Amino acid sequence: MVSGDCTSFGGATSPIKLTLTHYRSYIKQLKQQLPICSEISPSSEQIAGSEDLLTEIFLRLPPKSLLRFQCVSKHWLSLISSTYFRRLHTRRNATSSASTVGVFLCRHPNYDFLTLNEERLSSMGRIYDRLSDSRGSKVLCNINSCNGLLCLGFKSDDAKTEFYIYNLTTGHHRLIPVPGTMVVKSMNLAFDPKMSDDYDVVCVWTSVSDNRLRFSVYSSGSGVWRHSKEHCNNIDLCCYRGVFWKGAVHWFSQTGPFLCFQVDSCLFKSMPSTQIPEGQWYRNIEYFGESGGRLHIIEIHKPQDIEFDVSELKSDYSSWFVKYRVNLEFLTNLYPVMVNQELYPPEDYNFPYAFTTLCFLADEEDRARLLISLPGKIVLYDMHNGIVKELADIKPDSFRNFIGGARYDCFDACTHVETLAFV
Amino acid sequence: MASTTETKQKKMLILKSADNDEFEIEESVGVQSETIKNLVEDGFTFVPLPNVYTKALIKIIDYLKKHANKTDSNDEEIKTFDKDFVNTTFDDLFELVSAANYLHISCLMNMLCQTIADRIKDKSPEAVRKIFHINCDYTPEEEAKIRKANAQAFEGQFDESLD
Repeated sequence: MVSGDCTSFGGATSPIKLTLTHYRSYIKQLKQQLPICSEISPSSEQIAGSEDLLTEIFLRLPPKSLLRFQCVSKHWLSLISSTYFRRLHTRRNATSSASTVGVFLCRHPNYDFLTLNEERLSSMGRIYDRLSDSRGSKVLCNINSCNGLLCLGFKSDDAKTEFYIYNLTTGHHRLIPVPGTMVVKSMNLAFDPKMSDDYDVVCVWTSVSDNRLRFSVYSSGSGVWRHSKEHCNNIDLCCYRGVFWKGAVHWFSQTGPFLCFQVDSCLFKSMPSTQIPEGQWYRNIEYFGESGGRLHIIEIHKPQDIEFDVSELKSDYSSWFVKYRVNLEFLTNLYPVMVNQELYPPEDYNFPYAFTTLCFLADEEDRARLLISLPGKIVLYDMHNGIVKELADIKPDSFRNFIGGARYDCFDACTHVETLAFV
Repeated sequence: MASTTETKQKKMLILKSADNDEFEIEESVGVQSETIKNLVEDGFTFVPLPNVYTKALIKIIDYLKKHANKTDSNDEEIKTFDKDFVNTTFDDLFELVSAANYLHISCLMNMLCQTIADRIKDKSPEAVRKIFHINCDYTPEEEAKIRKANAQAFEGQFDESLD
């Protein structure tokens, strides 16, 4: 018998010969395992004693359960609250629209929170309450979410605005120190847990002396600002939230070219804009956002069309292409209130339908859902199986005066996921 | 004759459980376990598993056999098998997950950990303690402090059942 020859060992009766190196590691393995297997009841003690096994289970639990289970025992607290575990959990559970727990909906000056897995709007939202706790008499003026973290701006009575990064899951927050020379137009979060444990905040600002938009980046890791040499004259851009995707923040414009700012290099990168319809001087973009690792845009052409495209940007930035053709005609049968017939006959009025595409949610498996605000209702339309789910009734009197009934406006929605990420 | 026996003869392995029961399985079934595969590559055909008890080993061999014969057509059948496989007590799941971890069977590990996580995620800390047989080592004051610091994670009703 030759040691190491795999055919030469056979059956239960033959003695096992080990190669020396293997023998050592095998004995080591046995020694490690022996104390455990000598116990009478191996199962739960083994689980409870094995940090590796507990970690494997913990990684598959949602953040809220983990925060709760910190009070199971001191051992669990130390495992769950460790920097190592929180970062691992954040990385593993990053950027999946399947984990989208809800959507912030702005109803100026309030913010409602709509959970996507519950049946009804949760009494205008528990998360909003937490925001209001922190803001006192201040007005919330900037909300930007990115993979579970939020960048919030609070304006106080003296018109001074302070910006914070919030993790609403853990309740932790951090003030962003903004230099006094910067007149902030918008703050945009750039957080990709798959790439880094730290996040960046891209600030679009002007100085007191000129009107050009300037760009600076604050990094959570270093706590330092980097100022870009790039600038831009299209003030229109900062009306909308920037969208973080693939290491860059993207802005659309209803009238001018789109803009892409790379966070690492602090440089602009060229990106294609969509065509402005002939005979018009503006686009009619209703949605612009990231979902399932892709950047999408919804444009609804005049007259406000029940049939529209969801376009996607090619990952090489070469062009936009039509990803889905959507026709919501069937919804008007379910919800006749969507048609503005009685008050405004369609032939006389440019907006025959009353609906808003709040949010497009795609996941890695290419399942696509559309969150739609109709007069008095919010529905989720699953484009894969055609199922429409009513998520909330909304009260008409709680809204600004809207032609065609109470609904949220486009760009009022902001998706949210739970995360254990550090702020 | 020699050629027919040779083609029919499959390479076999003997697995020995912690309570000294021996099981003969095909090598192709066994090597789905990284631990067994490494031993096979080093020439072993007799594999003592001092950390895996007979009860768990029988179930795991079942699982490995089923998954070794995975084809496009029996996808549904395997899904049903998997569903039945994890439909058991927490103590059984814990024993299986320890064994799967020791044997390095990653798809089984993933399934078992996901099952345990899904089944405990809505439970109260008290129920979780009982399920994992953990004694609380906090003073009431310490526990209250943690609950207060994570108040929003304690909003709502939790599942107190132990199954």
